[in-house]
Amino acid sequence: MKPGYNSTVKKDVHFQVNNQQVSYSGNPSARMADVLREDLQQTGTKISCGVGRCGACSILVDGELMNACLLMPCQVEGSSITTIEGIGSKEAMDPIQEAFLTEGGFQCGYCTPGMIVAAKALLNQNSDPSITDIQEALAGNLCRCTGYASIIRAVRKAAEVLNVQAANEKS
Amino acid sequence: MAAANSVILTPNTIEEAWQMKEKYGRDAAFMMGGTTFQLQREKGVPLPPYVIMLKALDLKTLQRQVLDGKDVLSIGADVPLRYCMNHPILKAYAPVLCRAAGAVGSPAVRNQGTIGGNIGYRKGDAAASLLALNADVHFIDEKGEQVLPLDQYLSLMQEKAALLLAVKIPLPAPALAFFEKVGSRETFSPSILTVAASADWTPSGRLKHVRIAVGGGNQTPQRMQAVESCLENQALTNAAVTTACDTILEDYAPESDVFAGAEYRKMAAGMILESALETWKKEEVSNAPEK
Amino acid sequence: MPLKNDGKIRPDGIEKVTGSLKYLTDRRMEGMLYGRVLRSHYPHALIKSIHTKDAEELPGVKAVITAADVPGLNGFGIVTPNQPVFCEEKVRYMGDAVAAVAAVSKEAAEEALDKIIVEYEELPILDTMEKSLAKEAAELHKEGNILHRAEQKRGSAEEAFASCDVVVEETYETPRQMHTYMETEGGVVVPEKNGGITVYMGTQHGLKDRFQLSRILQMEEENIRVVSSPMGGSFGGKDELNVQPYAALLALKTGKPVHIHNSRKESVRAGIKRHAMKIKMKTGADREGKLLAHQTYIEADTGAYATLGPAILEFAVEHASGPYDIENVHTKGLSIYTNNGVAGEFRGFGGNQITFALEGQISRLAAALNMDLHDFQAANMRKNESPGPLGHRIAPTNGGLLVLEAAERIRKEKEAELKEKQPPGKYIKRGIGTAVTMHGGGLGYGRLDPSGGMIRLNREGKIEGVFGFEECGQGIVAVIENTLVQAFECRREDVCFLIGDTEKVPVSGSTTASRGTSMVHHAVQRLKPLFQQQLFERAAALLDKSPADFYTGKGGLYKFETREQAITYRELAEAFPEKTLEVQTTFDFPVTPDEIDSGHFLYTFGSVVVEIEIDMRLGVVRVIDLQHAVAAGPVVNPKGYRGQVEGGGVMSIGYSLMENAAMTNGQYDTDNLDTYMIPSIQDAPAEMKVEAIEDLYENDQYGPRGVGEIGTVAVAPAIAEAVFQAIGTHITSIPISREILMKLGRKENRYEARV
Repeated sequence: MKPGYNSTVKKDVHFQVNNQQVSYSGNPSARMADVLREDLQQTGTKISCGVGRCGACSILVDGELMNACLLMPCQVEGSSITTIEGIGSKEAMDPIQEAFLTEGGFQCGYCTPGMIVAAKALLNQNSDPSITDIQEALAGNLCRCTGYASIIRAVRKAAEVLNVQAANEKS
Repeated sequence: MAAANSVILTPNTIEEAWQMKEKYGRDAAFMMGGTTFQLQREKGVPLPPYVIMLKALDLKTLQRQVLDGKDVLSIGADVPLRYCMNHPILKAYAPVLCRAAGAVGSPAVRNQGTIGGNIGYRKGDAAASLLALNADVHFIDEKGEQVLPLDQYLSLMQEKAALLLAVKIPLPAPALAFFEKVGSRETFSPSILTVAASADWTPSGRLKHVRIAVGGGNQTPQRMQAVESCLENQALTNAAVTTACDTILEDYAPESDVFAGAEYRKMAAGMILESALETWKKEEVSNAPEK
Repeated sequence: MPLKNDGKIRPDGIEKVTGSLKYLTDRRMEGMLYGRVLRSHYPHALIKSIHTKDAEELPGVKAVITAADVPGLNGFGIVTPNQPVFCEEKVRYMGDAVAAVAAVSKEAAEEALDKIIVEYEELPILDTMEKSLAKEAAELHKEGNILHRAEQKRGSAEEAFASCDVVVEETYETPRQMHTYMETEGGVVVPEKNGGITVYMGTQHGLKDRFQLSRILQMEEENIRVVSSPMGGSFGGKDELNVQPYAALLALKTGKPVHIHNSRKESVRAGIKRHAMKIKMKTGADREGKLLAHQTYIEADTGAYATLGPAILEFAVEHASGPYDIENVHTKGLSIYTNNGVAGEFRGFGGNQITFALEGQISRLAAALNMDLHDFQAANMRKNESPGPLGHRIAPTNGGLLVLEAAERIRKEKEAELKEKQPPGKYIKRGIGTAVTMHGGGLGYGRLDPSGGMIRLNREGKIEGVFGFEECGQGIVAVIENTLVQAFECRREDVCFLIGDTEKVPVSGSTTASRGTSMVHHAVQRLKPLFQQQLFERAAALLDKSPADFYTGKGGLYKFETREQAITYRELAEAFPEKTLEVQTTFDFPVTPDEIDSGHFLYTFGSVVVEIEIDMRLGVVRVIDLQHAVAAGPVVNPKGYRGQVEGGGVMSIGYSLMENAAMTNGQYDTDNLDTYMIPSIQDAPAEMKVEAIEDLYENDQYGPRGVGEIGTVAVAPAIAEAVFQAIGTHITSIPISREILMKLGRKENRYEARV
């Protein structure tokens, strides 16, 4: 068989966004951040630097934290993407969102979706993070308003709440 | 500057990937994690007309293997940096590579960015530590599949295209290893300076197999051979440390850029080497009874 | 006591943490076009010709506009509108706009920019203040290369130096700093059926944007509606116009909504920055430690255009002697045009630069006199009734002494803690540093500074606070909510706010200069009796009682007699569906009675204590702890207060250690966040404390003051002082040079390591 250049034939890219199946037929080298914001109207994912150096566009791809501005649709074929909209809603907030709210871990709010997605990635893997763990996990998310202390307070608070919930579920 | 749509090629085999590259030449580029593509795009460098996406090639294996009778750690080019940072095999045998991988970008960048991409980027943080670990690379170019020491590969890459397949770190890994990165801030920063070093002890408490690599800024990491030879077969006396640090000041010729002057980089390399050697000296003292 | 969590949540919080808040740049409209601006190719050049034909003919391109398409004034600038909307003859910096396009897609717009051909004739680049001041320098504007001169004099510093026992003289340099709001400039402008427009773009003063746009578009202000909140950060950087004129002109030309959202790169290139300053100070004291004379000369690189350059220079001049009583003060300053990026308003407004220099002088003098820094500061600290820094009358205040004492107490606690800590590693030096500052609020004497607000009982029966303020993240919405709740002793759900829409809000003045919180308080204090009176009269009419029988409370009005609820707010609103109950007030920000340019009247005070570690191998400074004490009157919104001060503090850690929007040949060295470094989460102390000193000086009627700026002002000098405490060297410029620190360290380590 000759080398499979037929793979150059344009075809749709399939992936899931917040558990919804998406069939994307646009430019396969677009920025995922634009695909999410423009094509899918999920504007909770923000764009600030466009080069993966601020974290405002943080999303989870198959559970792993990534920058939507650094990804192209062709790279997420078959993947499951979670954006801030998939983490919780106004009516049913994730405990992390509640903790950001009650601890005041945001001001202008523009880095907040990405920050919460990064916190989610951390707490999914580490239910009792130390301050250092938090600082490492959120190292790629810049915030210009808070000075970060309130964000650390929020993530610690979220971990506490989640641990209490987990304990209650056990007992 | 306008972004014409690129064609995404998705080869299923290494050979196919290489044929695509040969067919399109400069119009095609290999993509591992792809983090650098977008950085370049935003800086005004358009995507190439053909992007050869290597995802399907399954270059994601990280294992210890015996290759031509040699015991090596093999890391597939498409292994994300995060795995290099946390993988138990690497933690056990090449912890400096874990540290170097952990010094790249941010968690999100490390989830997407790969060891192969970082080497291909040439200024990445991983290359210095791999030079110190005496790594070889397995790649394919117009001559077919080959294995070459990393430093040779890095200079070859300047001349012509090649597709990196895996990094091979010989085992046993050196007894002594060190990595330090200086960035413009505590984390998530381009590297101003990266110093990696490794060595073994002789039974009489002298250094052998000394390897020191320095990178940072726009420069590809390089071995500091004059420094290595002045430490080779030396005990870590104050005098030896001083000579080594003075030699790195002569041997290392960094460039100035907006982040740091050449002078700063030089002096910092000396200071880091000094602290590295002191750490080793302490290890020697603490390990002494066992020797 | 450090501020603690009050358990309240911000009214805009849920939308922010769920990502459901639509920022103005998130808006998309039917038939919307994408706009892009062509910026200058050179920092200084004559424009010989502009050819737009090729661009116009590209598929998808709906309009290409240049200076010829500006119907009104081709210029903007809050005070002096000398920045062209589009350059016609000459470009003066890399951010200058030459043309703009609207197209059906971002890609088409981008491609069109490439097709616009501009012929230039390059001119010599004035990329330093020295070059601009040179005799042979080309004149950047018709008034020459000096935008503004400011001078203030009290006593005779020149003569007083003769009687000083110690005099220190030093030149300080501070960098150009980028605001780095996470949301770059942008939004949508929509053409309306009546020929007017609606501008959905963030700004710190919607009504001022409306005024400026009206001048440019030659359109009545009534036909321009500016929806300007919320924003993803501003910090002063979005007060001036940015992309509004382009989207507006394109929308009018195409008859379609036009969306512009700056890429970070374009934001860096075109956006304003904090003024880089060079400050020379000479300060003298007698041997008992009394400050006698203080002389300052400031040069500020204001870049290519005016914007608020003059006011910022005057603020720096005013604050040159800070909170200290000094009889002989002479301060001069120049704001100098260059071909560098435009410098303008930025949180702190010239105070940050001057305080770095002033506190540096104070530390040097204390050292020269062999006095403890705190004792020296305390000996010279302004007294409660002392005049302001320009010798003018100000609201009496003891804030300076209070924050100084707090800093000293914190410093002593920290010193004791340090003794308990493990000694640092061989290459690490530790230091604790303090600094203190005084910062004026409001725009200052001689500037129109009107404010005001409105309270109404809306149709839903909520007490609605309506203000012309903007929400940049600072939490003005929580301030409005808390102030109303407190004033009417009602529930949170009884109140709401309306801001950020010129069609709906009254004049409140700009959301700048730490004035928002203060002005909301003043407005509500004025409106409260009027509003209550109307509520009571309505209730009285309905319930056949006397207005004096009622008071406001949770959910409605209560009867004094029985302490029982008489009527709910909702019932009151519903009883008069036709007649909205609404009261409005206008007033001016309190100002000094003395005729003195820029003199402020209300001041806040802040002190900072930092603990640092220096890795002497590399000259790297790490801030381990950062604590603030702030005297700004009662706290209205504890989380907002703490957040502003903590966040401001970390922003200034960046200013002190890493941020420098340096330029070479008129181009930014760092064009995005991969190279322009702001503090990451690992550069900030994980825990910080903010102590709010809420007591106001006796008889002070002015209530809470804003704290948007104060947390940024004294951080750099405190870090510099900590460096001095750690290694005995006074640094003179920020961001602190690692190379300088390392050179000191290298000698030392050689000694330690090898002898």
